[in-house]
Amino acid sequence: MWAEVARGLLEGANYLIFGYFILINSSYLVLIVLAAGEFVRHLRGAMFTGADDLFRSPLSPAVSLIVPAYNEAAGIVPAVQALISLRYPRIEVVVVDDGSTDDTFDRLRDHFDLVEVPRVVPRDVPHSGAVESVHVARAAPRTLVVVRKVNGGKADSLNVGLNLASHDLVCMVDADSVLDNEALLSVVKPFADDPVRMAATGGVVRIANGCRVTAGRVVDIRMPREWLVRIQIVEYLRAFLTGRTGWSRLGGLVVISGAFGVFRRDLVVAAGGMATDTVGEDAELVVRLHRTLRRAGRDYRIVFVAEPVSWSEAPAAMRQLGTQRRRWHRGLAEILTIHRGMLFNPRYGRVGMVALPYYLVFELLAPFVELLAFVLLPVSLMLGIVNLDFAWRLAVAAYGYGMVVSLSALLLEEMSFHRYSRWSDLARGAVGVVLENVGYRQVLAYYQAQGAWWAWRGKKATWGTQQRAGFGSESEGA
Amino acid sequence: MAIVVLTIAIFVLAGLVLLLTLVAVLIRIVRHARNRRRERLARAPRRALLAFVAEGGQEGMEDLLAIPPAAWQAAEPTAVALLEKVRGEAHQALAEVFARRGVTTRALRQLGHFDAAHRARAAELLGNLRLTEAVAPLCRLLADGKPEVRLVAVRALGAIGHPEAAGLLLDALTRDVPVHMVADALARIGEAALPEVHGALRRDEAVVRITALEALGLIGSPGSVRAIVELLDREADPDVRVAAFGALGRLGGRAAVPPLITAVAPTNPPEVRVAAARALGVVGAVAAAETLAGLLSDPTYRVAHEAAGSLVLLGPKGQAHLRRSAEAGGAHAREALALAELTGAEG
Repeated sequence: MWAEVARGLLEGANYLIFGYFILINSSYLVLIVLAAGEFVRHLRGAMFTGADDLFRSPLSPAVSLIVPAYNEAAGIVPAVQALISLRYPRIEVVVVDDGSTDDTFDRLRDHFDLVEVPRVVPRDVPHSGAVESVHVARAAPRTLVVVRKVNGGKADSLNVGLNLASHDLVCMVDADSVLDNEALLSVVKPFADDPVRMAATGGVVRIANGCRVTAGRVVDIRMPREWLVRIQIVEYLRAFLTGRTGWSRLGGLVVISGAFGVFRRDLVVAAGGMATDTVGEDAELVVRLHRTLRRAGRDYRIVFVAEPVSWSEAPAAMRQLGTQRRRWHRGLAEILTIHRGMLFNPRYGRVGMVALPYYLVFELLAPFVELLAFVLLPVSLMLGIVNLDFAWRLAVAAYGYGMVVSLSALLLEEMSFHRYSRWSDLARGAVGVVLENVGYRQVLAYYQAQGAWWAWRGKKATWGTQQRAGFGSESEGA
Repeated sequence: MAIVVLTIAIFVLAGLVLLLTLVAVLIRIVRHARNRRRERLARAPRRALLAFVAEGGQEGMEDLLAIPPAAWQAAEPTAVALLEKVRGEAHQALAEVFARRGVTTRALRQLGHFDAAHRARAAELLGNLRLTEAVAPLCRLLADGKPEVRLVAVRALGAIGHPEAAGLLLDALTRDVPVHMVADALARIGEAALPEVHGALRRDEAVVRITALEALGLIGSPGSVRAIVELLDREADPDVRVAAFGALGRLGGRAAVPPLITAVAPTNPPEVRVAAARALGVVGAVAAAETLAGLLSDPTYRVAHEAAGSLVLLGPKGQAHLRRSAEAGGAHAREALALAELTGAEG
């Protein structure tokens, strides 16, 4: 009798997992359809955005770009140069050197002729790593500020940057990011159009590996040589470009990448700044903003801007990718734990009732379900609960649906922004769709499950280091 | 049964994969072909347009009028971009080309189009054409149901710069049009908008008063200082007061100084004090040096920071205060002096 019950349970579990695969992929499809609507609106409106007027207006909001940097010597100078020369009327770049052990600061000092100034650092938000010195560029003291501080982590650096930021809007940018020339105008535009309600905007992050970068700008977009990165490009299209656009359309955007996001400084300060007790400090801030603004009964908006973009270097080796994905999933687990009171709580509207539950069921738990499927299907086969004909069909249907979803995202990119102009890149993208679903996702599931597990066990978080090629001549030939 | 369903699903999914791939390829082929055709069609008209503008619109109009419709359509984005960039006679001549080709009439007609993108695009073009006849229909668009259309209408009316629109632009503020856009538009209308803008200082809605103040600061008419000072006598809303201090800072004048000195008093909200401290420096109120020096040790960081920055702007008298404070250990004074030294080195 017990054997019968176990067989029944196993059979039921197989069907449940298959149902879960259908639901998760269907949810991706829904997000892609929503994103398609947004892209049409965005592209049709491109003719009358008024970006030039924003650029010329003396009333356009000034922006402080906060760049946390830890051992970024390889690319810090061109990155800062590129930020300073962004097409935007009033900017200040605040680089926070978080106790780098390489020559990040020396390179900045030599290139920009930095001068130490006795700057008063307010404590609007708390930070633990003490500020050692503040420097400004001799030729542009109000445009470039470089802070040296004791190592305290990325969130701590961002808090120091927030304290030193002079302007009402703050843009958080990774030191290894390359922004399109119009990127800042585009992400600030929603603040100009709706200054009272707009709380934060996120810009899309794409992968820079393989692209040619000249003078701090991506000038030739192409797929890299490494298949691992090509697969990530497809994944970014599905999960970030279309996924976040879809959530933005639904009013449930809870993730703004730390690589490129603009926030109202006063709201971030009122919310307490960046949290230093999670490795997912970027998304945590967005969730906390939702929480505080909803509690205060404020009418606000947090939106995602699909173009232009910030380009970032993706991990090209499996080990680095593993470190990154463990960290991301760990961050997600921590955020959902910290803000568990928002889950299924109607007080937090779509964020509490739809977005966060979705992230719990279809993001946080997804790797566990995927790994469970890997165990249950072979066990069911061995016990004769399912036959081989059924098992392979089940697997092909589940992953085939995933391919349709990824391919839809690729098609949407082709219809809208079509950044990859070479035929060979389109073909590589199509192959990437297959590889993403067969092999990549399964390996990722292991790393993600590990990350979440570490969060729940309270294992100490480590950042790890990513080997960066920088965006000089090394990337040009890639 | 389950196997049959799964088999059908696999075939459907395989079909979808093929279909999506095929569509992606087709889209790329069509786009490339369309772009090549457009590029080919636009090449000659683009040259003619550039030559026309370079000649200040004196020669080449007939050539532009003779361009076949398909080629003009391909080159129209270039023509519109030029319209935004050129001034004076060249702009007038190019606007005439648009009118004689029927583009202007089409744009006026499209202001009533059911599709919001068409209405917005038409409004943008009419603004770039600076067409006075478009003022009335554009004013109607200020009440459009779509926010993006309202925003374009505001910008277009600013570009045309006709005073008739001033009052309606201020009214549009109650329909979620941002302050800075209306203020910009009013500033582009210039002194002709002053009667409406001064009148707006007495309106009940705070957002209208704020916009009027921003516009006055941008228009830069010194005669407005008295109106702003009068407003400050009766104004309680801190946001409006902050805007008023910003405007006074831009306009300057001795009359601006007494209300600014009053506003930095600790009894006022921090944002008001910050704005007033900043404005005292921008105005160059040497008489306020003592007051600003007293703020250097203010517990509110921004107040002390702005006061130090303003003392730098006041020249030798202000900087003498800063030096005295720095010698006594004043952190904000030390910071301001260090930055002043660098800024001076810039000049």
